[in-house]
Amino acid sequence: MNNIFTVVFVLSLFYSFTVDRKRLNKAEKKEKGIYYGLVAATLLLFLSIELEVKLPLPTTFVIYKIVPVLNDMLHFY
Amino acid sequence: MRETRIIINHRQLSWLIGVVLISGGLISLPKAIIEAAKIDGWLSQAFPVLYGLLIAWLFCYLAKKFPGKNLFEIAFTVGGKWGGSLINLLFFLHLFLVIVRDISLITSFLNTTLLLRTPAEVIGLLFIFVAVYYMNTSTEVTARVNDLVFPMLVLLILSLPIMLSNEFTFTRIEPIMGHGFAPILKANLLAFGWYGDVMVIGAFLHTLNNARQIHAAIRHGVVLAGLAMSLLVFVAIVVLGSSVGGRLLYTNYTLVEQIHITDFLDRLELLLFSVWLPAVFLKVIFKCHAFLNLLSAFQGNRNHRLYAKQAGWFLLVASIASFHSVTEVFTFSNYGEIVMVIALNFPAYLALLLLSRGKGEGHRTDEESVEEPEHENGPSPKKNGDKGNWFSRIHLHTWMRWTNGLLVAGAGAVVTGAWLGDDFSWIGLSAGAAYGICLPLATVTSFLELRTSQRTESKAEKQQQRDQDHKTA
Repeated sequence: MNNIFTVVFVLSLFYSFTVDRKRLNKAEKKEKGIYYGLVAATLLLFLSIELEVKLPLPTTFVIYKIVPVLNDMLHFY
Repeated sequence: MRETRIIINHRQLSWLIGVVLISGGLISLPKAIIEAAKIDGWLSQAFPVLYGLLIAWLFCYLAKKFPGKNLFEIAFTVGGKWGGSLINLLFFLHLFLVIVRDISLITSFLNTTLLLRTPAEVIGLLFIFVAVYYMNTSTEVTARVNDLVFPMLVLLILSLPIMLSNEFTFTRIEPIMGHGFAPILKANLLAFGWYGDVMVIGAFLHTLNNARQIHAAIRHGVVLAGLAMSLLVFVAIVVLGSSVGGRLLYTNYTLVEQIHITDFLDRLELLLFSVWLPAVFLKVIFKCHAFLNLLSAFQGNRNHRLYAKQAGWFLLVASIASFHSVTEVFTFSNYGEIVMVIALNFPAYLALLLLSRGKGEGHRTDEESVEEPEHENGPSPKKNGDKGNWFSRIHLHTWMRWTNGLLVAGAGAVVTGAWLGDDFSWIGLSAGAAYGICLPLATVTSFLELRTSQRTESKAEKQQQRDQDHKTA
């Protein structure tokens, strides 16, 4: 992972969190839920990239499990 | 909570679907189509366009039944809390995968061709900054920017055959449909996967009041995209040939590099990219807006500005984590999309169709009752700003029948050609010519549908206002 990316991304994340704090306090429960859900998912994915941990993502499943089966049937490539 | 009212017109909606479908095909699709179908790749849009029209009908049906609501809100209305959540989860998964695919495609394309030394994640970050800026505004703003970019994009694609005419070798597409059904079926399946993106338009159903206009807008967008994609693949085959075109990673990039107008007007690809790249950016931004609309459906109102930035960061890291190489992005985008549409979109559409039967919150502007009297008495050009052209005197349904007829005739010609073209080359040639005539004509008639649907607008709005007044009273 590129260092410039890491620094700028963390700063952007922190900045947006600071900016949103005021509105977040007034937000409804569901809105807060979506907000914190997105933050948690972002941090999880970001840490997995930084620590080079491969998470089981749907794209990997499609690429390595489904597409080969589809190609065996239809011979796309 | 503040409700955000967003209004775009039917032309903008049509161009929205146009940019979403056409830009999708600019980067990776032609390679996969030509690789799979070889010289018959240019017939790849015959059946996916019909699928697009089917989805257009479904959205029109839902828009009529549930006025002022988008696809995700309709899912909650018909399916309740749990059923709606389940349907929207399918849409969420598809939309999420489509966006991370597109971000990865853009970054890998720029990283491979234009910005070789810039790390892919930095390109992605710069792109997301732009996307987040637009996500903080409304769809209207993006639609207006698209108003500037889309006509240029279409113009450039339509002018490609002229600019590349000196490189044409027509023998490269012969024998037309001489290899049976298999290659044509493969090409249509691959293109069909990309037409799953039509789902995005469901996120903007609430932006237009008139269901008939929604129908006409999606139809025109889909048919125009079919024409543009057919043209791109056709030009790629006659210029590069099927073996070279199928092996190149970015077929269209190499294609535009072939433009040499006289000895001094070369490197025109840079000029073309100045239009193509904004179009591709706009496509992803529209999808990001759809993603926000989907999230906001879960909270019960359309105020999604609070988490627009966070959604942007999430999509960026998800795109980086989801793919580890360009090959993975291409495999997923070209071949995985078919599965996505069948596994995620079909069940969701079917559930919506079945659950919405017998339900409804009244009619979004009953166009039939509005339009028919006007048709009987003749159009009132001055009133609606219509200049009274010959096409405005023809009923909307007539244009729809013409479009449907032409598209079915085109698909029928492809089937006939694939069936008999192997044995009789003249049948393949005739069928190819028939398809080549039907698709542009269908684009014209779908455009006239769009124009004619405009005629109903003012009266339809008045009718809706009367309905609302009646309800209030």
